[in-house]
Amino acid sequence: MIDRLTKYHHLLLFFIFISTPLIAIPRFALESGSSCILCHVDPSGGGLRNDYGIGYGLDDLSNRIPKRLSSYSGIILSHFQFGGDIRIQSVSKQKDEVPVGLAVFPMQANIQVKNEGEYHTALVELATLRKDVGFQLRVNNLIPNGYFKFGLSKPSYGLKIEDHTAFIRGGNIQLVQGNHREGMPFIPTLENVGLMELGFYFGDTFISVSRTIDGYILGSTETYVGRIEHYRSLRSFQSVAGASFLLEGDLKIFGLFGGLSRGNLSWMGEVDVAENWILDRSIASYSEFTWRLKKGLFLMGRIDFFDENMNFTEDAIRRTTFGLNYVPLPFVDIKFQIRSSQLTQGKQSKGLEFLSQLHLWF
Amino acid sequence: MKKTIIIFGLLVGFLIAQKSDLKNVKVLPYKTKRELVKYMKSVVAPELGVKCNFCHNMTDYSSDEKDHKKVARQMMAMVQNANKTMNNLNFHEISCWVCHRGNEHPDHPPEKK
Repeated sequence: MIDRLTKYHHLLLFFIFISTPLIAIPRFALESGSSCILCHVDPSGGGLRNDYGIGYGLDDLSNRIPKRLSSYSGIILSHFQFGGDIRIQSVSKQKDEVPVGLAVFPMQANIQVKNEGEYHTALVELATLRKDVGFQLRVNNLIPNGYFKFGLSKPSYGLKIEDHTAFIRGGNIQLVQGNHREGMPFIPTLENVGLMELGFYFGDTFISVSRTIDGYILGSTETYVGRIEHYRSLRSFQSVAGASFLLEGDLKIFGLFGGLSRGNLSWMGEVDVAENWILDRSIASYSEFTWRLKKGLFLMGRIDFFDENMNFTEDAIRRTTFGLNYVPLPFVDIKFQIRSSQLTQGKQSKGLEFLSQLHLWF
Repeated sequence: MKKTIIIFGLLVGFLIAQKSDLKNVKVLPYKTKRELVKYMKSVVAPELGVKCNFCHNMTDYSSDEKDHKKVARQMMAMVQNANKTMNNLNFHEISCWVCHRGNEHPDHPPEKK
């Protein structure tokens, strides 16, 4: 076992670095027909859940609720709400149908504290594995139906899906296919930066614009990020559509995203084009179907695509993923995934990967 | 820089902290946020066919700035009052569904010709 871990130490290191900071599950927002703030303290989503989010985790997400947990609120001291996210992942790599390695490691161990007043919401987050601290103070009633937020945080771009190996996020940090880059710049090691953000809610539309003090991605100049999303219910369908942009010096990223949900079936997708990220223009896309088999049990299929120069030749990567997601109890989420990557001309690249992940939160 | 921002923020937080109790709840009888959220999610929202933002400011649920919230409060008081009579007469209790039937606005009878 130790030999195998040593042999595949690069794989181990690659995933250790994915000690995810704040992540969100936009599918839940789509199915609820509302923006991330419905369940999360941070309007950009991810991290500490609010009262509705805790209730959603208890009543809607899990297979069953033990009586002891049914009154859980996250309030430990009367003025403060505490929460946390812990993720442990294992990866088994297979070559020519033979298992060749297994690694188990922690991905995330974050602690969050919220404090609220009449006009403010303060949120502190400590990412213990990455030794990064986030802090935001939100002034709520300064703007009607909006907020002003500042502190150390990350600007909100795109869908912010929970998997940082998706090409629309950070992709393969270890360059598996031998390209210059294999994914957009939103790698999990990006640190929190000084940030100011304005957010507005117009009915089912949410708009946010933010400016960082230092560069967020390249670290050179300030970064400007804008995002708009609109939720719509039509008969038994729930839908979301949105767009976002990021400008930092010469780097320009623009993306469109959307989703459609009906009953137990939902689809979400995003396409991003980056200019001056690698070679002139790069494109990344993500498309995922999820089917709820029963309460707490989900089946998913996903296709990720990335081309570093948008000419769709042999260096473009397509990754296909199938998986199961099981939430047996509130605050316990187990994922199993099988995935394979292919270059556009059909050449099989690195064999199958088997991933499993345990996510605990409170 | 990071340390300064965090220390400043924590100080502000401590100085203007409030207890995490229910705020501005005038009609509903619930004592905890969990009970209140459960009622809103399982009764009010589906029976009116609306989402939270129909009545609430999403950044401050306790705010009364939306007229829909003021109307909803009056409606809830009306239902509670009706249910007192229903209970006294040993009748079934009513809820928003009796009139709304999953719609924002209850249907009105067709105009007489």
